[in-house]
Amino acid sequence: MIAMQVANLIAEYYVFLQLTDEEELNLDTAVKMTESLADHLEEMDKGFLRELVDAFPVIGEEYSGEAREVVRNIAHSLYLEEALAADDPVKLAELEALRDARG
Amino acid sequence: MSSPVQPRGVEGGRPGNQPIPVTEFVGGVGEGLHEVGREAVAGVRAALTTNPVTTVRNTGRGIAAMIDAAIAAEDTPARIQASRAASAVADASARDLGRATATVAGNVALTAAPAAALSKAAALRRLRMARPRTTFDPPQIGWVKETTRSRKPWKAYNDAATGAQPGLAPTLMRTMADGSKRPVKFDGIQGDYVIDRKWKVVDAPRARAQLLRQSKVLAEHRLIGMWEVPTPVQKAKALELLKKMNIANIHVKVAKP
Repeated sequence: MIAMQVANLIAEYYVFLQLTDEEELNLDTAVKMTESLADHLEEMDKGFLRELVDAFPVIGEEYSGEAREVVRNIAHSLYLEEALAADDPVKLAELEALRDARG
Repeated sequence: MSSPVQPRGVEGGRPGNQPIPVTEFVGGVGEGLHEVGREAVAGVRAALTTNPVTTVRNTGRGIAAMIDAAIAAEDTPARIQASRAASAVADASARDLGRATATVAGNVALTAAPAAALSKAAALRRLRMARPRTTFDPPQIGWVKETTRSRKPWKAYNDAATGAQPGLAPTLMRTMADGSKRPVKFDGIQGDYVIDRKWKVVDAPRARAQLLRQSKVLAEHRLIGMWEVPTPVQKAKALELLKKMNIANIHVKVAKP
């Protein structure tokens, strides 16, 4: 339950960073803060991060259009599965192959 | 290998007939243009319309690739020159090439043209010889206020980029489709490298857009980008992303925090 609430908060912030108009938010600042968000998430307890990663696709359904895709893809965009598999070379290789295939 | 441009010796090409290394190695064609280039841009343009070295323009990317190969092991200044020359030669109109002749890009292009008939080692030597007299405009770096705050290590890392100024971010102006200009922010500047420090590489939509934006503005300014990342893991991610996005004018290196 807490994971859902936190994931909601992150999704909201992430959509703000990715989709706010350039007139309102400097694009390079947005990327900088996206990188910062990725850093924060990677540092999280792995069990909790797993819950967050699983929550994003569910939360994405509450959004529409471009925002929906953006939220669904949070784990991919921020390399979160890779963060979860940091100690598992086999899983990392698999994730890299998946990423390559996706383009 | 044959080439439409054959170096030839020039006697008495300079007043007083004092040989200087650059005109010696560039050969007749190069020297002719070099001398003209010292006179006036208009003169260069006139020369280019009749001089065989204009074939440089037509060989386009071929010359660019040759320069890349020849100086693969060279140090930074030569790399920058060649990158600029490649860009200038590949994209140049006759007018551009004429103008570039008075700059480093033209000099390297001239160096490269006769080298087509010679060995790679000779090309390397020529580039090295060309370096001392090359001059080019300083990068058009602007500065904007950078007020992002964080207590996390990424902030200190970004602020520690070479050439960074406290509270300011170096920028290059990008030209929009409608002709207006907007700044693209970086973290530092070192010689002709414009540095963007990335504590974490991400593949978010705006990160990809930033990559394209940076590449475009760097090309406009004939500069090279350098992403500095803290670990080899981040470097691998960056290289993969650059490859996917087909970006060649941004390099990546590990810069330990």
